[in-house]
Amino acid sequence: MSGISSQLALLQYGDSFFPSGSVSFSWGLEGLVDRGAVSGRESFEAFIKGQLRARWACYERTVVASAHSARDDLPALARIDDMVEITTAAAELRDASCRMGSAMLLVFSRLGQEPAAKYRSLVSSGAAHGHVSVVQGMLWASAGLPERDAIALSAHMFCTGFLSAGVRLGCITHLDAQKLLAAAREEAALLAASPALPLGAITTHMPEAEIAAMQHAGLEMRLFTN
Amino acid sequence: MNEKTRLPGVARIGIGGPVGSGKTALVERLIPALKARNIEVAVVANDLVTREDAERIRRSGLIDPARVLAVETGACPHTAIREDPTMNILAVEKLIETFPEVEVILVESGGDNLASTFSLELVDYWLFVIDTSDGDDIPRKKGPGIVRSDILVINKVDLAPYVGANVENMVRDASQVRSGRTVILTNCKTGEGIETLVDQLAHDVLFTA
Repeated sequence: MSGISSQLALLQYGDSFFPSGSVSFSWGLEGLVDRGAVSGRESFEAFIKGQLRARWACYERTVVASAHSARDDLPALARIDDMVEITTAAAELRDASCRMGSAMLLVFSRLGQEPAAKYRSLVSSGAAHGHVSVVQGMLWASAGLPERDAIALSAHMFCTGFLSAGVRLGCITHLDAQKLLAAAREEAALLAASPALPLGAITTHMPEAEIAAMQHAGLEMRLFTN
Repeated sequence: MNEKTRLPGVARIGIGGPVGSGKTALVERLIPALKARNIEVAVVANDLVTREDAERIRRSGLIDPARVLAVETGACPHTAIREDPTMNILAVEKLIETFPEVEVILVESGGDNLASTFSLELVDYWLFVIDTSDGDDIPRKKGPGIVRSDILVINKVDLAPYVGANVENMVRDASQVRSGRTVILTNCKTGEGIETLVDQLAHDVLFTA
């Protein structure tokens, strides 16, 4: 795939119109908004930039790139999946990651993508976890997106997931979200310019969001899965 | 136990409608009515802001709590049953995998407005529930839920005299905007109309009548 076709594919998979199940997840944001830790555009900007630095740049980016390289090598994908499983401390985040990965595998399988169906079978058999960042890298590679586009798409979806949840939580307005997305794009580009960590060295540290995700099930009012 | 013939596949039946129209009460009536016909049931409940509906059904004593799954919809109940029903489809698949004996899965939508409709990737057939206390002009307002659902259920018929609603007019208007397709009156508190509804489901989607 090249030229305009590749660009259109990138737009298709990055569009909120593309079904991925992402509407159900806030990745700890709902808990942070509930306790007032994130409130309004300024604190949201600090939150999302922090997430980009402490999660996306040193973790998600490497996992997506590794899965993209592994492509349809199922045992290699399962090993990357294992790495995500053992390095994600909060059970709630592990579970949500697998649920969203399963959702994407389901959609791509039904769209007729063979590697998606094969990896889905592996996940169903219990031989792989199906974490979302692994699934994204694999699916986007199989869909013909080059690695650079897969990384960009990962950053975009990482940010829009939070921003869309923020709008629905009433924390930011729809225009705030667009301003923040533009700022986040610059931040992601800067981060992506530095070399990615090797898979064996991936790391993530965002304790407040993780604790919020762990405590999420206890919230009285809850719009999201996590 | 009597021998029974299994249905040819799992029938997925959507139940949509505004908040407070009686969707959960309808589910609580349908579960025993279907079980009385020897039909195995499971439920997916989409709550708007809590897991209240799912928990209510689990605690009802009408069904094995494990057969009730909840899906959070991120404040987008219509999205979760139409534009991106993926999490609901996964829940349905999980129920089928865990309980292969299940023959009917009721997918209760989170409350929304009159515009919500179900994706036919998610359900085979769907009901839309309104009630008399919302005003007897509701059917005339049309809306995709009222016009396009397979069955329109008008619930809380017992309240009509107290809220000044004319049920006859509601049925007439609904039949008109739905080109004569099925409209059923219910009172989920007493069970009135439920057998009629189940008869219709048996005929249209369960193929047992």
